[in-house]
Amino acid sequence: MTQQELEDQYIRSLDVPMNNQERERFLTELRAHPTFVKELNLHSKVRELVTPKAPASFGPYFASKLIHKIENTGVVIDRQIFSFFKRFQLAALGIAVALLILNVMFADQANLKSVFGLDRTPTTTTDEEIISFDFYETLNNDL
Amino acid sequence: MNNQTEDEQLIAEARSGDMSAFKLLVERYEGKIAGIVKSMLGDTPESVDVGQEVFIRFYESLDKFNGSSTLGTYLIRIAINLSLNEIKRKKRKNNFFRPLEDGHQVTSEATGEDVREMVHHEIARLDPEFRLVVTLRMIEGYSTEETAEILGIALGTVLSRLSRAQKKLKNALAKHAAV
Repeated sequence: MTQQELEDQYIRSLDVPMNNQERERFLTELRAHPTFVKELNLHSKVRELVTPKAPASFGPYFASKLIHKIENTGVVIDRQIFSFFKRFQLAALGIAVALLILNVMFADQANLKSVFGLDRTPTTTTDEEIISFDFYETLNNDL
Repeated sequence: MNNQTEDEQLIAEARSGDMSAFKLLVERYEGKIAGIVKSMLGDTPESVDVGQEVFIRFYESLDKFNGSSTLGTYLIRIAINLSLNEIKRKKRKNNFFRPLEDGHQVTSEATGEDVREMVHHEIARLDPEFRLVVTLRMIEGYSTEETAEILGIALGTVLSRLSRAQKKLKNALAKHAAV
């Protein structure tokens, strides 16, 4: 095992502990490189140095300041009811598009009025003329 | 009552407008979030702003939090995203960490605290993806599996990033030891 491999295995062991067999083999190999032990110890030293001595903090009264900010800057909870409607936005859009396509397909003419059904004319045909009929005049004439 | 159950209860109370319950949640997770944000951005005023933004985002999305991950993991993910955004923003402004070509200056009579500071300075010089695994695994003490889950990357990737970061930090320490 080269020194590089030994170092890699040692670093790995800091996160994934070696099993007994691996440890035995590692120690045997390490005996062939006694001067390398000091080098490996530096890795342990790094781990020791990065371990925080005290819990981190954002400074005194962080939570109080935050609550004050929330209460005074109009931050509000994004209510789930709106999210519920948002969830169906895409489906609603799809239905609207499908209806539009159907309207286009079945439109009488290729114009917006026809597609949106705005050009509806009365159902009476021009052929039927309304003939005025004065009942009394007709009656008097007959007499 | 375990922490998760307590969190759920506090979240329910916060949803109904109880700010003291929300404050308790903030106090409970401030340390964890501060550890991550400060490790990513350094002990700067921006880190406090990002810390506040993490909890404001959480407050806004209280109704959406469904507990599919623990609250800690949820907040850490927000903190990571906002920290990375801040790093990008700073990079764009081109003033992220004053250049220290020769590394952190440590005198021969450096104390243990100076060495610790030097190592943290070296962590700040790592690329963000390496800094993240170092922060979660080495500083915050998450297991490699938890680190992989939080970051959404493979366990092997976590281990290889840790290994590379560890070597860089060790070399910096060795250089210092030789001074």
